[in-house]
Amino acid sequence: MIDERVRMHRPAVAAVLAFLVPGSGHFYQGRFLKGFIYSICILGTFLGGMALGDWHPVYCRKDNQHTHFGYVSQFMVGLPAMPALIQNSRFKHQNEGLAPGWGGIDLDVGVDDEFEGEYHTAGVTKSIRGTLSLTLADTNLGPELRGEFRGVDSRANPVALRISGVLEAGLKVYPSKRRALRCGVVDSNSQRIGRIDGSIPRPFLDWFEVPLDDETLERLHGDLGKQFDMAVVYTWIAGLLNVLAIWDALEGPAYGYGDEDDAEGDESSGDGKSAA
Amino acid sequence: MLTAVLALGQQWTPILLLPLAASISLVYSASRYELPSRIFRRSLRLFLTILVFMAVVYGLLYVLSFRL
Repeated sequence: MIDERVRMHRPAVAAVLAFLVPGSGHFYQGRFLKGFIYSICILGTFLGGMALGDWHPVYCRKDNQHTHFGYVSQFMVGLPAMPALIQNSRFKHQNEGLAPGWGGIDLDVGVDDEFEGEYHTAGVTKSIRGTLSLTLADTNLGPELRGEFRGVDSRANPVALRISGVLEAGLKVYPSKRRALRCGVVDSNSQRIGRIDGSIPRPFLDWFEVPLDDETLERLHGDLGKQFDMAVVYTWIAGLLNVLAIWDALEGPAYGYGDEDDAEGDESSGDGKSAA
Repeated sequence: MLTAVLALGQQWTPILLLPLAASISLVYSASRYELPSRIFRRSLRLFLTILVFMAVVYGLLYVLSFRL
């Protein structure tokens, strides 16, 4: 029997809300203090874990090589973890029939992005940084990718390059904030004189909660060490804590209102008054 | 505050268990009771219990792995 003083307004609706956004079910019921506690603690733990793990600990992956069972727990945080389901589907389908790591597909033509990498020409390699503009040009042989790079090298000397020919790009959806790019450089007679090899920023929606492949997992463990494991644990625990919050929205506090036994006894003193 | 904890956590990972323990204590206690004073008293006690337990385990493991 739930204590009458506990505001249990439409518990089923509140439970669904509590699942979708931690704490929202309690706000809906008018239990504001609990709403604050749940939202701050659960979302704080979840987002803290994400920040600790460079925004990569939450992902859904199920394939022949690897199944991420931890996502079951992360999923219980609700909406913040749900993009991983969509990203898993996007990641899987773009990989079909392509060599791992390189896709060269779906590059946004007309890309005008900050490029960072190296320029290789006649046995010389320079570090370059600047803006890469690519366009799709109609030629007699069909559409061809052309563009230009404008920027500076490592000594701040200006660099301007004409881009043409074969272009290779990293996968569109991949768990990295930068997308690898490699393309040819031509002179004014369209003769190939070298290539540039580097990366452009990958849009947020193309790397956030994307499944981690083995290579990325190794890189994250190498870069972050134990901190990445701790980050993953944070996100798991956030999901498990939200199960308690959902249960509270649905069935009320497990031991009762809290003033039944003023003497601060052991846990067993409250167990007998369980309302759950 | 969070930034400070994260920065400290990069130096010494176990410090990251403190906010985690605080979060677990608050949510667990809030799911047991409705009365705010009871929730906060219980969560403080649970937080300290978790810290003592972790310190004991840490100490035990430290002694067992001494000079290994």
